[in-house]
Amino acid sequence: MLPAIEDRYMGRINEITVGLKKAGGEDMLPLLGFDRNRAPLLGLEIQDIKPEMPDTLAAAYGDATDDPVNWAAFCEKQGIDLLSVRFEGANPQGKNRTDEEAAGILKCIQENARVPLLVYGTGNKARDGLLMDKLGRVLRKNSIIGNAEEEGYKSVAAAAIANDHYIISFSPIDINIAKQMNILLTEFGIKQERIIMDPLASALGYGLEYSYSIIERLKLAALAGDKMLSMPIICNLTDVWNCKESYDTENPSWGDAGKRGIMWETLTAVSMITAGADIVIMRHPQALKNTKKLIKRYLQNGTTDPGDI
Amino acid sequence: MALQTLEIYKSLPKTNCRDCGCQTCLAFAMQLAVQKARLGQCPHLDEKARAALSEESEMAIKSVRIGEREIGNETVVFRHEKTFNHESLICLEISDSLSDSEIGQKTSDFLKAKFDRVGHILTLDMILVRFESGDAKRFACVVDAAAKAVGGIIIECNDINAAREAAKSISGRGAILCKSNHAEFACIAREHGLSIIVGGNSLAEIAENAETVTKISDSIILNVDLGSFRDNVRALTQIRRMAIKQRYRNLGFPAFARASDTAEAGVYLMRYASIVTIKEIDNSELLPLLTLRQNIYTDPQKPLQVEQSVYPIGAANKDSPLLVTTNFSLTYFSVSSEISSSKVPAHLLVVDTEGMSVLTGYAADKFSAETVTRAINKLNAAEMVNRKQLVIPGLVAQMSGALEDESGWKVAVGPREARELRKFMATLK
Repeated sequence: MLPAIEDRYMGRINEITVGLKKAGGEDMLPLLGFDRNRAPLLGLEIQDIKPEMPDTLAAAYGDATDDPVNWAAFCEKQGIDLLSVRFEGANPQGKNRTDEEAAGILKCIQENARVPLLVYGTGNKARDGLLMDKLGRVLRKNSIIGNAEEEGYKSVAAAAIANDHYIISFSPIDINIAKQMNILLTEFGIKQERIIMDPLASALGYGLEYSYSIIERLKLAALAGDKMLSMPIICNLTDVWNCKESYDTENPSWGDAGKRGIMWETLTAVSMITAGADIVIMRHPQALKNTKKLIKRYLQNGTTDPGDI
Repeated sequence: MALQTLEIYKSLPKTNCRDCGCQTCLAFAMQLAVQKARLGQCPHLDEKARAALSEESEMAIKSVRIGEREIGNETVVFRHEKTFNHESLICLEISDSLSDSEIGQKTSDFLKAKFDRVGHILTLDMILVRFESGDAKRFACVVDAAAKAVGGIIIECNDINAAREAAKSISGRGAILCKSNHAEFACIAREHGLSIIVGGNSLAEIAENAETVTKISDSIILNVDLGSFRDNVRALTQIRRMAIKQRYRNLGFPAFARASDTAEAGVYLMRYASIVTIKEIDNSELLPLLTLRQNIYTDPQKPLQVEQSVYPIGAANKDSPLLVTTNFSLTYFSVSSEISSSKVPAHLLVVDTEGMSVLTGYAADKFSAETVTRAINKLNAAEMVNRKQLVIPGLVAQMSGALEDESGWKVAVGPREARELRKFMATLK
């Protein structure tokens, strides 16, 4: 007779609605095979400008990246659950798009989008205050906006409250700052259930294990009952295609660069999910498909939510 | 720690029942003292006696040696609790029904799958040969060829004679995997100093079979092959938790899992498999997989470090710029990678900060005007460049004045983030 192995935890991750699907809500650790697992949500990210990309990534998109609306449409066909749109073009050090221009582009993308949107600003605190307010108004209710960071979170938070959106609470691989951010946001007026945590996903080979362990610790803390850490976790794989290994062609012993880049991103995504990520924003459509396939294979043996896949 | 015969004898039943194969308990104790017998041979020991006698039984998950490598002896469920002790071994599966040239190709590819990361060489570890030809001599021949290429071999075989033949070539450095008759195969394994990989159709069956085999072998590995990825991951997790949290002995052994692709292999190595098999060699997928293993199995308290040195990036010459950073491997990798992407050749002077990153090192006085100057002088950096100019990370801009005074070099301040280096390097031309 085997000893009893069922897990019972005091806490539970908050459940959020992302379009027609749900994320979070689990009351146990990921990949334990018990029947309450839910498929993590996967998305791709586009920008309002054509960014620099290594060839191995650009090859997947062709000229779709020339125009954000086309790019969004292309991504929709890749089986995504949500679409991330980053308004890098509004950066004063770059194209310096006006709020109106950005809002116009967002409106267009949203009109054609069948999946929910996640919207980021420029990362430039001075710029994002007004920008996120404008974009927040364009977005359908219950979209997601990011990032709220220790410095300058108030304007992003205000945009989330005013327009009824979820907000991403960002911390740089630090469990104390993660909690502190959530406290700051809730004290500012954001409801706990509207927060999604981003603990900073590091790429494979460039700090992955730090993110992996922080996510495991966050999940354990939430399941132990810490309400200030019970938010679902989002991982945005921003750095994967900056890694040499995802595009370098100068090392014949490293094999095909295209396949290597895809696997570099796939394993990064799969590790984050294994640790407990509820939402993963990726870049390469094939890496997304590989990740989705693995999740589906995992959930194959009976799931309470077959519609989630 | 070797116990004296009389100490051992005190914990034995003293019934002289001969079930262990010795004439008396004292004789058995003498054999145990010189490791000529195994504790498992006595079926009448209670938990107390077992605990008192065996250092091994203190391990929640037994340790198993395969050639030069060790697996098992894991003490935590989460790496952040302390660390994972032994890296999963990655094992290539081949069939003995392949031709000689195909086998030659596979072993050659196996040996070529070698990568250098952070000064560590990442390689594959074992080959598993499946008996499918039906020809015991052929099997033995293929196993022998594989054994010449690599230090650890698993033979997968359900034919006793074929197993016995093949086991001879891999004495002391491998394992036998069988579907049934575990006891019989365990005897052969023991004869040749091999581990036995024990399976079952359910976790309960695996535990039962393991228990049966403990009487014969003390080198047991659990075969987690329950028919689906999900059931395997679940079982691997339960084994780790039961062994460590509940000290459940019959599952306290390293686990073996077979992956159908690289992504699955990644999950298995993150989720407690001590040996993971793969079906193909494709360096474009192996480099990521081995990097993942290196990342997950890094001791959280001992960050990887790079040696203090001046590293040339690209075709660096005496006119190329010199940049300075710390020897935390992650820092080194990020910075050198960005410089490399900029296509501007440069020298990267890495200061030994005991594995601390830029900010941490600065705060701990390991990355200061003094330590950087010492490194510059020790490494003879002045000989490597025509102008005594260097660039420090933007995060420690405040160090620039003191560093100029201390070193006598001109100091420029670089960007705060490694990813800004790409644009920054262009300005250095």
